[in-house]
Amino acid sequence: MSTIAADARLATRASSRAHSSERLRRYLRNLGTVVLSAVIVVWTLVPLYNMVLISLEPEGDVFTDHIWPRVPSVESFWGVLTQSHWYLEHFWRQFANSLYIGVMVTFFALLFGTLTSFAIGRMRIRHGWLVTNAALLTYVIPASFLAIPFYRIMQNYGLANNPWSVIAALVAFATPYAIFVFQEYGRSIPIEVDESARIDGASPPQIYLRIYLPLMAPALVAVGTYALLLAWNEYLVSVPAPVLEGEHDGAGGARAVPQQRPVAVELHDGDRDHLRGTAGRDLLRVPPAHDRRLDDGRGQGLTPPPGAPRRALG
Amino acid sequence: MSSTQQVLAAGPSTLNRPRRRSWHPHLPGVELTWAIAFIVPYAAVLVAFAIYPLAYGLWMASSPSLYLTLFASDEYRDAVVSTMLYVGIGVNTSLFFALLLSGFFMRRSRWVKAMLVVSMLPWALPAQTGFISFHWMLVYWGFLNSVLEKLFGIYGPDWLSHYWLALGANLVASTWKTMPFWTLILLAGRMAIPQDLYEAADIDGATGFRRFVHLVVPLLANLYLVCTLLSAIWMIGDFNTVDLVSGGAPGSTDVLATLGVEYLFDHGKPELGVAAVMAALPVIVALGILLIRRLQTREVQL
Repeated sequence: MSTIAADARLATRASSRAHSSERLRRYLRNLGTVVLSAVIVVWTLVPLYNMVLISLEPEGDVFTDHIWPRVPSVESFWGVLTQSHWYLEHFWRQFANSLYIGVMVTFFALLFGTLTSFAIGRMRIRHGWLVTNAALLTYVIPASFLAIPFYRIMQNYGLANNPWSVIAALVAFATPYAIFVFQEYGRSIPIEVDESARIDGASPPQIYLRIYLPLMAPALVAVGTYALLLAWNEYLVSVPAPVLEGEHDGAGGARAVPQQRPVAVELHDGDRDHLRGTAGRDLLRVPPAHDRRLDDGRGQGLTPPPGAPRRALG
Repeated sequence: MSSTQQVLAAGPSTLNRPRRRSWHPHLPGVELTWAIAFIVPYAAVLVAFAIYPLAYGLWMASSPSLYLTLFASDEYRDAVVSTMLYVGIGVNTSLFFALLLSGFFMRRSRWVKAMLVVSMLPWALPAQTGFISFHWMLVYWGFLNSVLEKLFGIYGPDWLSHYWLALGANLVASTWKTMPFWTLILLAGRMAIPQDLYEAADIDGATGFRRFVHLVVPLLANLYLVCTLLSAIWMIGDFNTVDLVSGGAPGSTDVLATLGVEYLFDHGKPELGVAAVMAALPVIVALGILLIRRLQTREVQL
């Protein structure tokens, strides 16, 4: 009798020990989650916070040593929206440029991507793999490696000073990925669907329009988002080419403010002098804020371009 | 992709699966015309805006004297070293932490899901904004030194005027930007591992670290390798990070991509600029071929 009771007592003690070690483990686990979450939040948000902080500073007050906005001011945002600063004269036009380029790149990447993947993946054209592999190979060659040849080639094509040079270059970069994704996704659509449509007398364009495209809708959305982001964020390829603005400002308007002039025009005109040396570096730093105004539109463009403060220091 | 490769990739279990059928072994005339018509637009873009620029670049950089000039110049050697450090450290740091983080995000609590959304922000936001913010944070009067001074009473260095600090800044910024993407990819890879395997490992007593080493690592190995290759290729060609964060300061953190553009704009020597990047092309092509082979060795996850 007593042995049974002792056993029971032992069992309870053991289970309570197990229970407490379980509780300890859960406690440690939660602690780990909290610590890791804190690290993630700080790591992710500090640069973003800095961005907001700078954008809320009153103009001319950028490099104060505040770590929170002491006198929050929406002056910078207002400046962007009303184009009131010399640096932001063309904000809305630049915004429209970005939008136009983004939409066009998305459209053509999707169009060419679906057409090609349809012919290679569904119709199985002979030697189609050649195109796929060539596409993948160009996909791995970084855009920055081709930037300089691009500047030259666009002039050969007569596309310098034309948004279509940027659109063409970006379509060339975005489509290989589109083809790859469409082919992968297309594998999940049974080929029998196409076959039955053919038996019913559908022509290839009909199958493409009425069967392939609707079934590919999810992939289209995914790749479309990718292409839009790629185009919206592109920086290097657009440096010399964002030439929609400036061109229409009437004579001299663009010349008066060198920073407003696209670098390609600077080079094209051959007056490279002020592009040399540090001044040139700073000019080249203008485009990120200059072409994609929305990205930096949180008032950052109102401050001197990066690089300037460093030089001012010494 | 050739059918042999497909079979090799899929493994023995699928050997007797019939070959994927096409519409027709040989497309009849009209359909062949259509197929060609469908390919022509992209083929034109490919030739005009990818193959031709590449060939043009190779032609521009074809003179051997360019390479003699390059190899003799200090800035080029600095750029090669910086590129190797930048890519070598950057790729591995970013992917290693992404692998660990993806494990954290496998947890099913609502809190962890919210953290996943927060951690994706750098990837979702435009790159330039983030990098410019990094730059301004690190300049002498920047946010970082303000924080150090206000909270800890330390007077921080001018972060971008020391080689290692500036290189570190580039690496941190690039990791900040790219890690979320790799986390997401590796998370998808982890989610593709069937639950049965975890359960089997559980029964065999492999939990925690041992489960990670003996189950997750081997199953994710191919994906991890693909990510490493892709990430290396992207980082070798990375212009934005270095250009916007350190801007090449203090004079030697330029990588090949930024040096090439610098040769063009600052020195007006486009040929030299193209040669500077084209010298890295063999590495890119080798990595690219490896990558394509890896990608075609599909469904290796299981």
